[in-house]
Amino acid sequence: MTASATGARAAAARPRAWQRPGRPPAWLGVSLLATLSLLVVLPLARLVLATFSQGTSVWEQVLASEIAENLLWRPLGASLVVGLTTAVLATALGATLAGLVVLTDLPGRRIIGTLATLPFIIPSFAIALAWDVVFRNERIGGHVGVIHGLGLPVPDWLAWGIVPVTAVLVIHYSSLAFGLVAAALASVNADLLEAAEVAGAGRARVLRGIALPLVSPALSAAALLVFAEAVSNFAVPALLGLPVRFHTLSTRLVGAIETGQTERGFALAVILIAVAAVLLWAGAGATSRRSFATIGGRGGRRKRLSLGRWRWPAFAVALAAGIVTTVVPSAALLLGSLYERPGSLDRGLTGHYWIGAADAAIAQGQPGIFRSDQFVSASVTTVALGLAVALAASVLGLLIGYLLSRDAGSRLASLVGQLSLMPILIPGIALGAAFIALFARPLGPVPALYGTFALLVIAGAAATLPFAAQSGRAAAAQVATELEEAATVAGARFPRRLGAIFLPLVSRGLVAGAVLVFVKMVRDLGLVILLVVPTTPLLSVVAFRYASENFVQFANAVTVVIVLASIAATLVAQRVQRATQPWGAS
Amino acid sequence: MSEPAIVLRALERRFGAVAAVDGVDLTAAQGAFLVLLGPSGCGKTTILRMLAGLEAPTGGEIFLNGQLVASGARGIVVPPGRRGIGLVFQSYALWPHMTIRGNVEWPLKVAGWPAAKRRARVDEALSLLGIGVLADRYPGTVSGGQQQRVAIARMLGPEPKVLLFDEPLSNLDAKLRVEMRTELLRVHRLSGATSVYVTHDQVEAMTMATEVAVMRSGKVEQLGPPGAVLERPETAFVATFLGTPPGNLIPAHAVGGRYVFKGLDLGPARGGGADASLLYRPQDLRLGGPPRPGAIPAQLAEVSPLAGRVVVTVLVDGQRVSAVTDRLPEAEAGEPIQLELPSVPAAIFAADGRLLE
Repeated sequence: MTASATGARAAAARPRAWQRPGRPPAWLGVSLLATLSLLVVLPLARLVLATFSQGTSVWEQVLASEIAENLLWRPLGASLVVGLTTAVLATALGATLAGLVVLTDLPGRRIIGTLATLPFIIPSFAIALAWDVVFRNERIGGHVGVIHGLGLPVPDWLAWGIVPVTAVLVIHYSSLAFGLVAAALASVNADLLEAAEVAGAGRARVLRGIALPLVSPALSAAALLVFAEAVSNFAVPALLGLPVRFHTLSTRLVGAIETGQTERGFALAVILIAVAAVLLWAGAGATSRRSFATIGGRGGRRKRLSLGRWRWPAFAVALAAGIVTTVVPSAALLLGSLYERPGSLDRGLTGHYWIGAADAAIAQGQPGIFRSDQFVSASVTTVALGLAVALAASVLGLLIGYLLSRDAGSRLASLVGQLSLMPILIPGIALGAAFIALFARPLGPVPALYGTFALLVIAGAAATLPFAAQSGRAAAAQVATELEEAATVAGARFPRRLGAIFLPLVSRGLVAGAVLVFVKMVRDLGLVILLVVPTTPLLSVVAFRYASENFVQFANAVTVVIVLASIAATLVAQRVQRATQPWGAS
Repeated sequence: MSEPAIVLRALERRFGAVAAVDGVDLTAAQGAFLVLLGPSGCGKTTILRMLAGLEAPTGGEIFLNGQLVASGARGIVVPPGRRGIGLVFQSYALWPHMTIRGNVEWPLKVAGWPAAKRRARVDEALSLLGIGVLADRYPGTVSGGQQQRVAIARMLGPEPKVLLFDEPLSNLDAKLRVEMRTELLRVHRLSGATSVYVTHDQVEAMTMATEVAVMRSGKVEQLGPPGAVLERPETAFVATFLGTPPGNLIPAHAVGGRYVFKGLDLGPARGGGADASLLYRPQDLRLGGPPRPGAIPAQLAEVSPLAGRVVVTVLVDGQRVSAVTDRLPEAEAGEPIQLELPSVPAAIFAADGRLLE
């Protein structure tokens, strides 16, 4: 008997009950479940409970008192109209551009594609501010926009209320629809389209009869997501609606909480969640019967559909759409940060709002943003928040993705999977309200977190959870189970397998996902608007406050900084995605 | 050492109501090359995974070199790293982010080998497989055959007592497969370990095994040296699964104590005189000639040359029957041909597949 056989005997003498060889340890699932409960379930439960803190009186006020009409029903109607219109128009615009870019021989497809994805990187309040720079009229006093400044009258319906709000949201969310539909179209097996052409179908027939039905699940998914995001958007109706008392559910919600009517605000948040959840559920139910059969083997090089004589006209229209939704708003923002008197170039341009020293004659003595302590500290806090949330989301995404791919089918894993997707149903602003409800006072051993940086990080992690879980899951699915089993056979336990095998293989996907989370947090306003206090300023909130106080040049300047930071981070993410790894595999 | 290397006792693995492995008893001596052979879904890979410790048995026991490593009843599963086993995966499962040296070295790191000893062992394993020059390349940059060698070197690194192979040659082309068979046997002999090899390819089984376990539906149908299993099949399934081409089973009716097929007398009935299946080996059949008493009219289906002889497949009432002949038949595909059976079948099996002595 050799020495090693004796060792084996010793090992067998105290065998461990190890019922799940090679599977994730049970504590992983349990601790993830606990974390997600804290991030999602507890805040929601607390939110709902808080609305019943005075019996049913809050709900009676919100639903049936004489203020209900103005507090709930009218804003709710406006939210639904804005949300549905935006969903339809943004999906139509995004899908049309996606079809042109992916399927046809449109000239300049790369440029059009880039222009179509940009508006989502630009925060929605930036587009709203740009709209203000161009279309503002004298209805509410103060400065006016460029068109009015040129002496052309701007009607109220174009300057304020539901039309500009919807238009800005369509511009912003069309790029979300573009991304989803383009990805679905790119995965349609080219053979399917060519088979239709061989059968003698013209290009319109191919598009209508084959391509459109194949991507219809992506179309409805895009429309639902756009609806959920648009219905809860706060910044755009606040900037373009509030001055003329056009309210949506989100602006009413923030208004109620900021004026101390906290429980009323919570009740509105519950209603907002219910509206989003019901629509998404109904929509998901209607589309789930169709399978995503579009994801098939990729047929080699695709012959593009020929646009014929419509090639250049289509290019002109697509390019114009791209320029109007990206270049024009960006230019307007930049201009809006430079002119001395808003809406007119009479007094020329000035760098004062960027770098000027305090001057009692201008803007009530406020210095340019680069000399403002508030801007500097907000920049630091914003970047710190982006990094912290990106890190938290990556860790959560990695562990959730690991659990879902390696323990597929277990009840614990599917519960974790469902919980991680729940924040999709919760508009950012309602999630912010829920975190106030939970952490305004001490919770067990946890002190009151309201107003702290930690609360912002926790809320950010909760809000980005669905995205983090999805990208973690996608990354994990690319790592074959045998690679880990081979490590198990070598004797490596779970932490070592995770660190030495799994993590290096998913790192690229994780980093790219983390950068996108960073961008999301840097440009977010809805989630943080309720959680930020003056000691934890964030750039988006600073810009919004400047705008509400009519310091429009400052607001524009800060927003330009946010846009540039977002674009820079997105470019980094794209580079990471494309970067080759030493072992050369993708 | 007289102690058997591997003992499986009433081993069982259920997935819900389905028994993937259904009460398997097996023993392999030290240094044996045991091949688990069977069609896909027969449970052979599940047995291998239970041997490796990647799957827990729901019943029965596994002993490796006399040590109990898994017990369904007592809930014991010794982790893979403490079993003294090595495993080559069907997909090789090489870690793409580590160099070839890194792949072979990492298991030794996990096992806590000192650096100097580790380096020496890696060099030894790589040169044993003839891939020393590839040490600093990544697995994705070398050919399939070379990846296979890396996977074997990685398995050999920690000097396991039991080598496990999960259809390791199925991803290689035909020529490379034959080369690697020889290579694997050389490695097996040099390591002095006991090997368990899973495959559905009976040629691999016949050429490599010292012992073959033919499996079906979670059970071992027959265990023995390849020659013995081929010569004396104990079940109808084994008889039709082995051999190139496999044996022919002719369904016969028992009439008055005699077996009868299409009006032809095939000899005296055994075992109580029920209907049975009669085994005829392809090399014992004769084809051609004019229609005559004692010959069965058949239809020529296909012809394929094999090792200087010809495998001729004919259809009798839609059933395929193969014969090995020296010359090409005179008939063309689709034309009638006469089939003559030898006077005594090679074996007789009852309706449930059991051998009738």
